[in-house]
Amino acid sequence: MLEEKLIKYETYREIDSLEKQYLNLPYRDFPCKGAITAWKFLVSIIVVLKNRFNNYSPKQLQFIQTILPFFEIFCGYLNDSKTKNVPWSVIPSLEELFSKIKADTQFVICPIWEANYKIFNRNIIEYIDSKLLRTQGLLFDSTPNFDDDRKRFLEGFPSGIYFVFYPRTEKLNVLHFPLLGHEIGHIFATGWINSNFEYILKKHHIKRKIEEHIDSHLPDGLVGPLFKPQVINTQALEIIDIYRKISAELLSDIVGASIFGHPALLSNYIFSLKFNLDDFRQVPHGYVSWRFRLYFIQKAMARIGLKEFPGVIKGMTNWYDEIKKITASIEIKNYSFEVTGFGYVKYIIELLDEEFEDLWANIVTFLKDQKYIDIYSQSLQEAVFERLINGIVPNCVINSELAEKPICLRNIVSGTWLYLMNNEQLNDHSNYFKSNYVANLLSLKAIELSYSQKNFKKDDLK
Amino acid sequence: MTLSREEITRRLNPTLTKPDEDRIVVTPLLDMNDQVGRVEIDLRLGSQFILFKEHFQGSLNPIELSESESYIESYQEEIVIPYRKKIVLHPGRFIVGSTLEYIALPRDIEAQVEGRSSWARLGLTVASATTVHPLYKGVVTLELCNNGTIPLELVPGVKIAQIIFRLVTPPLSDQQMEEIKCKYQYSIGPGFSKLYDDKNLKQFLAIDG
Repeated sequence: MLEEKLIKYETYREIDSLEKQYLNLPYRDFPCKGAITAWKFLVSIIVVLKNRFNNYSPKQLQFIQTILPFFEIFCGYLNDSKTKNVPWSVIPSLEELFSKIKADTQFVICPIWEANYKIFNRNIIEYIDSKLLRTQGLLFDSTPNFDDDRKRFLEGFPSGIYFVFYPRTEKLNVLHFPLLGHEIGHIFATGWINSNFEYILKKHHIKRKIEEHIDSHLPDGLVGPLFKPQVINTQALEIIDIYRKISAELLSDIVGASIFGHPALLSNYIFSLKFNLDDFRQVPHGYVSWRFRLYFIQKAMARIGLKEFPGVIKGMTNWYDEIKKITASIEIKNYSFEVTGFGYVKYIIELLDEEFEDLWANIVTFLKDQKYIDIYSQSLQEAVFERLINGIVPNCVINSELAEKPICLRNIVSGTWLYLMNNEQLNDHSNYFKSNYVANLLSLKAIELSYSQKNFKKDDLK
Repeated sequence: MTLSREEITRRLNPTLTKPDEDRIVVTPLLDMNDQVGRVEIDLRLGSQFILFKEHFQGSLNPIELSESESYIESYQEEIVIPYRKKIVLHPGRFIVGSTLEYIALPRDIEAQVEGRSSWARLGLTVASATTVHPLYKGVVTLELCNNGTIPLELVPGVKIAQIIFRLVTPPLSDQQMEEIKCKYQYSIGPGFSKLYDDKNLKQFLAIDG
């Protein structure tokens, strides 16, 4: 009996403390719509848990205890998403762009103390719904109206909210925002893989191909004939799981490239330079080498229709050529891996490469159909470039009647990459750094201004 | 000589003018017809502000300010008020804001930033450091003070100031253009005071005696 009382008191104390923490969050100071929505959703759940507390059995309390740590984690993420911590001036544009990849979905963009871009790849609405709302007797009584109560509770909330993270030190780096595209791509990739992966495996006989591959590479006499099928099957399932993870990562790269266009490849290129381009040690987690990722992004971009950086200005060093040099050394059949112990990797990559067209044809078609690919404009990127050269904020182009046409985030970021590539010709490191710093600030301002220009009539600021 | 509407619009036209030579940039002009007047352009309030941290500090010593770049940040903090939200300026209070618009002036134009009569009648002073030099590029910092007796609600995007352009004769020479160094060039929001960069103050303090 004492234990029952103690778990009850302890759980109540924790819920009460969580409620105070959430209510103390400066929710009016969240620049992301997703953060405000997430705050409202999570507070609503905590309030109901607290109000119904006396109804819970010890078993239900223990179950609630397994969920509470997530509320603590989410509270920390929300606290980090305050205006002063995030690139607030570009958040509305980023939200607008990301929402195109999945309708009725919102995002919380927040910093993380890591040198990496990440996503909490779990829809928090769906997660809380599956764990708490759908469990009878927790938030709603077990009555015939249970499902109606649940639906009523969810009314007004979007079907998805995701937390997306960037390195805290990269808060104002316009040039690396495209790396967030890969993270958003995970949402799409996860959904696509859940619906299509089994079908793809069967259609392309991938399991059989992998089993044959394992069989042909098993050393003679290592496994007795009785156990051989079992060993092959176990290994094949492990490899398929890695194949799935690699597919998810590469798909996310493709989606990221489709959202941001060429800056996605360029920012990945810069990011990749921090690493050994041929490191395969992270393969079990789905990460193939950077060299291969760059190769694959290029390949996917060509299929989507983004063949060359359209804005490269004559005489400028085209970093695309540098990337081509890196990926040119990949001849999949002969690609030798420096890391031993991953013999199957080569085979997986061969499969992915050979089957690219068939495997992901519908994804490529889907991405090609997205309207945001069409808004990629060479003339607008060059306008951004020219404005940056002249120290002018590159938010719009102006015609002879002085009518302003706002430039979208994608073209501003692309034009800023043009500026950076052009600036690379400077030999003086200090000037290179300073002028890039200024260009970055001007682009941040431009993204804010172009968004307000685009939405001016709606917002009626006059 | 003050520029007229005709001359202002001519100089705003990027197809007829060249940056730094004769072109004036004021962007965004959300409502061209409404904002460009007979001799002025109305400017809107941006969404970044600098406030004093009155509760944590006693007085501000400009001499100490000259010793450390980050010293001012212990006296002031930056906040952002999103569009559609407001900041309330109470009587006697002072905050630093900036224009929404980014300005770039050519070598032959200087500008004055002034408050608008409608706001002045409510007690609001908008700018006290009013001159914008030739070749300046950036948003214009506004020193906002409520001299009235009732609190004023300020909403980002509202038309709050006006800029008047005047001809500089002769225009800055190429050498002067090379030499030009503005502490606040390329500002995208209100910046903290850079008194620490004031060389004369350091020289004066170095006088022995």
